[in-house]
Amino acid sequence: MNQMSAPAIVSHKLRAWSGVPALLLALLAVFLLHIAVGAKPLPIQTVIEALTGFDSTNFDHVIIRNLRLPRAVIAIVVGASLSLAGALMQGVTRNPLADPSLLGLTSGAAFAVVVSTALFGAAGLALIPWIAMAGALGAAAIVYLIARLVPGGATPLSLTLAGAAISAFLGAVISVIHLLNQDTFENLRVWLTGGLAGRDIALLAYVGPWMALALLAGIVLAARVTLLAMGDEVAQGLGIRTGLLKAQLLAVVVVLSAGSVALAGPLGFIGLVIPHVVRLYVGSDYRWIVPYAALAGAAYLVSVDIVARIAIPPREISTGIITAMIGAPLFVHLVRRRTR
Amino acid sequence: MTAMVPPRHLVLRSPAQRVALRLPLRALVILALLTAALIVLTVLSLATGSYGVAPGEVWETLRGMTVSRAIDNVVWEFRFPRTLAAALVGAMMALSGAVLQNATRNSLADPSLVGVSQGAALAVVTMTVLFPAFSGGLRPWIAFAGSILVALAVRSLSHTSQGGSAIRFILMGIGLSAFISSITSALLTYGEIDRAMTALSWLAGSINATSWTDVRTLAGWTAVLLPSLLLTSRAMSAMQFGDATALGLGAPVALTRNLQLAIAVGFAAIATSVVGPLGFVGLIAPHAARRLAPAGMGLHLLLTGALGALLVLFADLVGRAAFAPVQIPAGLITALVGVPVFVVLLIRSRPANAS
Amino acid sequence: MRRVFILVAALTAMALPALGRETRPYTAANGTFEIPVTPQRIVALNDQIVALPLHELGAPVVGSVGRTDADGNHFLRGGMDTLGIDYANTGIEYVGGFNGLDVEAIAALQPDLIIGGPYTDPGVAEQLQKIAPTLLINNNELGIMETMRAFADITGKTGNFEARLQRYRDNVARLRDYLGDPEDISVGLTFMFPEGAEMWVYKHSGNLGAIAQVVTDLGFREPAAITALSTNETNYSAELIQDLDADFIFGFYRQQPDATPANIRAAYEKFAPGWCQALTACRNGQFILLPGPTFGPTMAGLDLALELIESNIAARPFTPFAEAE
Repeated sequence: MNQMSAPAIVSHKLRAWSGVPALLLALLAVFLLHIAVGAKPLPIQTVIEALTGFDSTNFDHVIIRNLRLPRAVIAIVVGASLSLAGALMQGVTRNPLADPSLLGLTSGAAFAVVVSTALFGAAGLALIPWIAMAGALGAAAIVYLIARLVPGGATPLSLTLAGAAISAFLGAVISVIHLLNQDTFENLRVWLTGGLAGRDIALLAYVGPWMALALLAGIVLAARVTLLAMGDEVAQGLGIRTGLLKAQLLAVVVVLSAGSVALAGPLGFIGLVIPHVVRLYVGSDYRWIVPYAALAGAAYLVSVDIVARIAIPPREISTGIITAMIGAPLFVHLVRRRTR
Repeated sequence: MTAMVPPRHLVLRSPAQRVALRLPLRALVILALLTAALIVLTVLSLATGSYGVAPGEVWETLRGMTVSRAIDNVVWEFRFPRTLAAALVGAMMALSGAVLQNATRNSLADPSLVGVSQGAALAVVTMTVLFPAFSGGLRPWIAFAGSILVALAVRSLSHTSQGGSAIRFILMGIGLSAFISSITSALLTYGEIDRAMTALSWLAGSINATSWTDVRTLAGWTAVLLPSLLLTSRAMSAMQFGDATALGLGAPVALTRNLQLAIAVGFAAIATSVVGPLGFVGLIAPHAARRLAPAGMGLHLLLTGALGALLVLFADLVGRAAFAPVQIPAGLITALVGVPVFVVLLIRSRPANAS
Repeated sequence: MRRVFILVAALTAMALPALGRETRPYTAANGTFEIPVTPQRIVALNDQIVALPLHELGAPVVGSVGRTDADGNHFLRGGMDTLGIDYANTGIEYVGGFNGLDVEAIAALQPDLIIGGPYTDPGVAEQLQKIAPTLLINNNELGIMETMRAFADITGKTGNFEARLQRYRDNVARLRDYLGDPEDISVGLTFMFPEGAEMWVYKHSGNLGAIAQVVTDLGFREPAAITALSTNETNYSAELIQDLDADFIFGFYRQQPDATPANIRAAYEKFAPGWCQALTACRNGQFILLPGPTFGPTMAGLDLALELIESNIAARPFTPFAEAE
């Protein structure tokens, strides 16, 4: 099996919870920065006023309350969810190339949105988040079904293969639809890159509680993921019911990813890379990787969103594009510095 | 519990019994079937298209007699190079994937992992969106340059004084590929929409505009790279068991790995430069070949290549003829057709053995 | 000697038709080619930019690239709206999408001239040269007028074009007279997709088809923020939407079955909550939603656009926008 050991870390590792306060502070700092900063420079006084004494006829207040604040909150939720889901995926499949899109979740969501837009046009636009979720869940179900039908059952290898196949299939269908119906391409090319502009905060009220539950569950189950990563036999020998654990973990991943897609479209990269970065600092025990990944992911996405909004005013770059543009060089640098 | 029956083999011995090849029979049969299928598809492809040409006329044109200038054009300048290019590209991408999966010992590896597809895509999209005035003739060169540059970058970034490790290589590949893809995405999303749409078709992997020059390029490189690949197949077999075992068996691991990466990148870069990024073939063909007929590395490579060629040739034919005059790029059909076939293979295979 | 000369001249004159139709050299963006003096079978590689203007000029278009809608029907974008034509009611054949041409289908039409542009894949253009001379006309560089003039030149239908152009120019002059001082009126051009995630802003010299041409010809002013942009068109941040305030703001959207004014207003709201309150133009009812780019680069498109601008700006009183103190 693909037993990929973590790269040998040469520098000082973080011990247990020692890094958490710092990360939490960092998260709070970028959150406040996100609200205070944007394409339109607004004095701190205005920011405080908007939060305390909201005046709906003052467009500056509207900017802060209805544009920046929801974005910041969504960024935190989505960033944490995708990173945590990615860490779990890598643990369950024991493959460093795994991320939430592997189960076909992001492709399923994108596919459902593109198809419904092509068929129903703008009438379906308000329903995009729900359609995205339905697509994500449907694709995950199919991937899991196929993996179970493979002789040997839903092993990490069969899951990853099935996921890759379904993702490729759905991606191809999406491209065909784009080629045949140019209007969908033009309408959706922004959504498909993953972004936080024009998002519906009301949606958070629906999916938020589920995602919060899933985040907690993920952190609680994390300790057992380490054992799972050592191999099924080892884990079973230590008393873990691997079948049940895998099902629980996959459920968490699916809820988090589907919710994230509903909120922010198919945002890639975070789920794949943040767990690796975290691993460079805390080692290979998922007990720590998972919670750190959630915090780091949240802070990262909020920071990236700030950049997306202020980099080249008056333009705004889709967050999904910036995420990789900034993150990848950082990631490369980190891997070089901290591994042998 | 049924006893395991060893698969039947064909044993070839040289006259003085100094060289013996033990080839699994099933694999040989499958290879022969695939080759036959390739020939059938080639003939079909030459006879099919939006310009109605009767089979008799096709035959006469191929024999050198000119039925009409237009038909000459269609068969010799449009269909023939396209058919050959499709088969070659399919084989090259499949082989690239097989080699990478062996080199990185990760069954998810494919040419896009080393950034070849992304590098080519970025180079071409940049040219299409920002400098559309440049002639199309430069495109294959630019794509090739992009692929090689990125592959070199991944290689050098992951290489340290202690030598590169597989996982570091993969991580570097992920990081760099993501970076490049994001820039490409930005260009497509914020570039002028008409130009972005032109790039889209190439990005999907399209064999629409291939000419004899392209075929010569592809064939030439295959002639060079394929023998090199087959020469390393013994070492590749040993490496399947891990570096330590391979070294114990006498395989020159470091040299082989470097050679493998060079060959894989070479195959993928050339193929991508001609027809654009053809995803999926490199990922799936090796798996499908292994599930159709387990075989030693050399035969496995040939099977993979034949399977890749078949897949892309079929995809190109369907893409241009099934919904004519609407054209669907081969890269998309490859995924649409290949996935169900692959899923069926997955489900019907024997219990998964070590990859 | 003279008899020999006459004989040779007569023979040559008789042989000329047998030598094939006359050709002349023409220089396009992709080189100089020998094209027929009067092309009889033209294939257009873009519906809105090439096929429609050609058809309007009266040139014989036998095939054109087109679009596909959700039901799988092929159509010429803008054809029905501006000229009343489509594949169904003309002799034009569909030859694929503009980034997925069916080379053989084009060959089957036996064209004697093929016209494309910067949206044409250069590799495919090379292949098409084997069928017929293929010209790539860069409409972005030339602009609407010059592109049409080029088409008229290539097809030999120049007379028709100049007359309509003169009529258009006369109408523009008439409207400018009526407006008095168009430079005093500021006009902003925006574009919104029904999805509501992005809003695009265009300079008057930008790529918004006939509407932009009309606005430029009439001489309206641009909001200062738009003039300061470095590119002709760009997406814009919702926070800065007040920078776009002007006497009139046009909100364009692409003509699609699903894009209605109500949908687009909702999209603006989703993009920037409270946008209408924030823009004086909107508060005064001077934010006008129009299907824009459909009025593509044809003379009919220009005439229609002129009428739209006339009825929305010239024929009504309005509250001028006071630029920030």
